[in-house]
Amino acid sequence: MRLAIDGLGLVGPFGLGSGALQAAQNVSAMPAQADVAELARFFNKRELRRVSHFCRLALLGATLAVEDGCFAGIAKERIGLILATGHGPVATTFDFLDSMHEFGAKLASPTAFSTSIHNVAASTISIMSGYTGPCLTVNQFAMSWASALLTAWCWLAESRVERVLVGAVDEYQPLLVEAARQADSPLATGEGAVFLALSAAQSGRYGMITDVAMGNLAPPASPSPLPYELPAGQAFTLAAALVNGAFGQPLVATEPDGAWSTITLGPPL
Amino acid sequence: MTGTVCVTGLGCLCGAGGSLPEIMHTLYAGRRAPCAPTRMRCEHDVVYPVFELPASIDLPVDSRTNRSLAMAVVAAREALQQAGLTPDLLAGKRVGVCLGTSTGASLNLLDYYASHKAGQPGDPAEVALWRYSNPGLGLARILDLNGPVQTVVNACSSGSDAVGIAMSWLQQGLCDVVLAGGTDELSMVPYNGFIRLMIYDSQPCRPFDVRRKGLNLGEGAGMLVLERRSHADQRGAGVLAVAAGFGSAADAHHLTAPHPDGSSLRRATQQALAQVGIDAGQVGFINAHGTATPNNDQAEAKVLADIFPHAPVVATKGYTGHTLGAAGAIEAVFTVAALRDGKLPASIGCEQPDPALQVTPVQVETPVAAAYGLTQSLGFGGNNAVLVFGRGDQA
Repeated sequence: MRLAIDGLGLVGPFGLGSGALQAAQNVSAMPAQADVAELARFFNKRELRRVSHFCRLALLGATLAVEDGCFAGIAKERIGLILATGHGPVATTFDFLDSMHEFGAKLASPTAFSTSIHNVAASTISIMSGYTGPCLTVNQFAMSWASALLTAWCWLAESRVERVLVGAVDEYQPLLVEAARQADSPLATGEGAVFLALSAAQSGRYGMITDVAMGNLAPPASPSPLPYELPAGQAFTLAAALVNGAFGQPLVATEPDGAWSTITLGPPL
Repeated sequence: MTGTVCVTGLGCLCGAGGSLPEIMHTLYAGRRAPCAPTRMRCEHDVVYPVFELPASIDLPVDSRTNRSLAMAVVAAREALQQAGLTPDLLAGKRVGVCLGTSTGASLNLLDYYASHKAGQPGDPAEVALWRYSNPGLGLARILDLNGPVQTVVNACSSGSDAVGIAMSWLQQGLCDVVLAGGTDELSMVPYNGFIRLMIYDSQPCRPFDVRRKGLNLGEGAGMLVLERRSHADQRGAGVLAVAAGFGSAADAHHLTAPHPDGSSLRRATQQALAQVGIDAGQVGFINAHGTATPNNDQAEAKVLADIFPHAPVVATKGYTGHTLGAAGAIEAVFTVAALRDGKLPASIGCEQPDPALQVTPVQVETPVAAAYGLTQSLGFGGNNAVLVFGRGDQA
């Protein structure tokens, strides 16, 4: 497997971009939420008026990766989009439950419903950026990210697309944090977006993904999670390895029921 | 690595029955059983019908297995049995799981949220059930499968996308076998959501009918065992069909409405045909998405009339309801079954075909001597996914 990483879009409580991520690696405490005001550089207020925080995280991460990854000249139908999320759009899901609870089923909010659909963020990126290639959303806790990368590799290997924009997105929601505390299994509840602009080129500006593996038996040892870990697996871990130039060591994610995934990075050639 | 991908096993359960033979019998008999919801409340002035699993089906639900996951397990076991793949034969192989869902992975913690609003602590068991019931991860855990897992949440095209992605995994050599499909249970959230979006018919749904007013929800799961032809041959498995082509394209148009000219659906169709290496005239029939919403059927009919002016079209949601993330997989199973059986069921619910649409789905059981069948799905957010299956004797 070879996936060239040509662009990077990072959004988190630590700030934006690889410099902010690098600076944050020695910080133990951070705000819960990310600032997405930078979106105003790319979209006007009217365009963003009905866009939820979850979608703004995704849209900003994707747009930064595209800006970084030089997509000029590539037809928009030749750009694939894959969004991995551990939990999906939590806030708008609770908004819809809230509208059912507050006003009853007869007056539940149709807008909250349509923005609580799992693929709302990928669709928002597609609609606002005009991408008409394949568009996919994956949702399976910490296993989302590796799984998304596998499918990205297939799309490029089959020449379905010329570039794939792969992102991991999750949002902080206090009620979910409370629910996680009560649940009998660990649940990462961090927030942010990590997007990679990937191609099938021989080398990428940031490096290469040289292997992605998933399984259910004999999970490898898993390191301590980063303080800004997303539910969507090892996305920030991968981003941190890229900005630190730490290649070759498999990046591990595990699920409490035994599922595991590893991602291995190689340096730019 | 590339190679022909075969279907060697099928499994299904839905409002029309608890196994594929039972379901196809129901479809060919032209029967359907929409009903008032029995497992959830309807608080509307009109009782909007749903398609529930027959009450006789005992699903293996428990504290770590929700209804969606349980349905996936039942359908997977049926498909594996037909494929002749026992746990012993699967051990040591790279067996992928690629499942579409919607409600099945959603954070619809209805009772937990109600407790929270009442200032009471919620039941952690409800959170744990969500945590462990992710359909893809859960199916791999329960069946002890070791390989890539993907839970696709592309709204109503999830099931078709999952099957198409599984084909890619096999063609690229990531797995030996993939359980591909979709599953979704009924839930108050989409039920109330679609009613409030005013695209839910208070009558049994009427795809492509001039009186159509929207969808009815259903529940169910559809599952296909996919493997490369060489792998199937090596173990002497019977080939039911060839999973021949997949296309996927986004509208980039609107969150809840398809593009009216269907341009991306057209492109997805052309991609799928190109992968098979056939032209549209070689497709013997189409299983339409046919949700019975005014917008869906209009956009879909436009593309079907342009690309397949002579192929018979069947719409099967009149039997199953719209099973959301499972729909594409269930209809993929029906497409393979129709290829095998050489006939299409009547498109129940379509009694007065809409003259404004250029497509009239088959209204009676119709023989088809087809080499290829095509099924398409359109989803919220503008996803379009198209699958082409070939008869098994072409593998």
